Amino acid sequence: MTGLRFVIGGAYQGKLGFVLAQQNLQATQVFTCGLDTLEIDWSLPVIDKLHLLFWAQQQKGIDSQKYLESHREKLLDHWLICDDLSAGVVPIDAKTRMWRETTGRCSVYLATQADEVYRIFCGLATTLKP
Amino acid sequence: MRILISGGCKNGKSSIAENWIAQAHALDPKQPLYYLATMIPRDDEDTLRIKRHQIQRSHLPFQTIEIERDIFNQISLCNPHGFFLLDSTTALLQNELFHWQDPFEVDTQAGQRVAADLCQLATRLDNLMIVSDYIYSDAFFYDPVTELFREELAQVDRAIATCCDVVVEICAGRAIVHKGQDLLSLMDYHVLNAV
Repeated sequence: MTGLRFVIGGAYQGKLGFVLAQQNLQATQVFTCGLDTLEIDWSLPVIDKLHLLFWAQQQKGIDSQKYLESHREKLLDHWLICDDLSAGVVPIDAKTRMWRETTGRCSVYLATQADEVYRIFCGLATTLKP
Repeated sequence: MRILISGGCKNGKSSIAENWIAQAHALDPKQPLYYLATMIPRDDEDTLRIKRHQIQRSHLPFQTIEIERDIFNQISLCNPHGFFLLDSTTALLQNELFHWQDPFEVDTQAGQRVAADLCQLATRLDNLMIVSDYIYSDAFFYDPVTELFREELAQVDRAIATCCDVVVEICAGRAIVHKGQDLLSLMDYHVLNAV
């Protein structure tokens, strides 16, 4: 598997299930970001919940887009999965607002770098790129 | 045909669903046209919302069937060859998930049950249109109960999407067809983009 595949969509839409089914991968091959994840384990082929990485990095003053740019070479052999946080009310809390915007900007960056981009809706994939 | 329609709020989902099922019914008008109403009104706001929906569909020959819970009992007297519109999964799940006497008590099996019931309904009925709500793309850390509701509703949506022949997302009154494009006629596309 070569190239960067970026998968976006709302929460609980079946994004990870789509990736695992595509590649016949197991859950053990997934690195799942959490609220305290600052670094990605690039040894695994699938990186899930990137939006939580962005939240954690923001709490520590890390610029997530620069982080992704500085790891550009590593991005290129992975499936990256991120929640789309962009379609709700503008959050009243400044930190949440910044997180939402960072996630949007990083998603655009990843989509520009990606060879393939998919959006998942109710478990169904729409190819956004190529 | 079994169809799932979802999308954000107030973007024309219900109108499109009503017109679409009514159009299909007009081609076979001897069969009944049913509106499966799901919302249990809790306050004046709910009552007003229901009234607005009733007025909106008053020009169409719907028979309204209340199916707040226990779907199969409620529709047992309906003609399975009729045309059914269920609006919405969101209200149906709400009825099953929450115990209104105790707002802190939730039934964590509700999503699984509603998903199974609706998929079974889809296999029993010839013409079924289901409306759901897309509530998954905002930036917020919800309380656990709200988060559970989102997760369970998504589970219902994904299950129905598997059982349905056609899955459509509505955005600003326009349709994005995610499944079953080849099953739709020009007339279907006309209704889909007519709001």
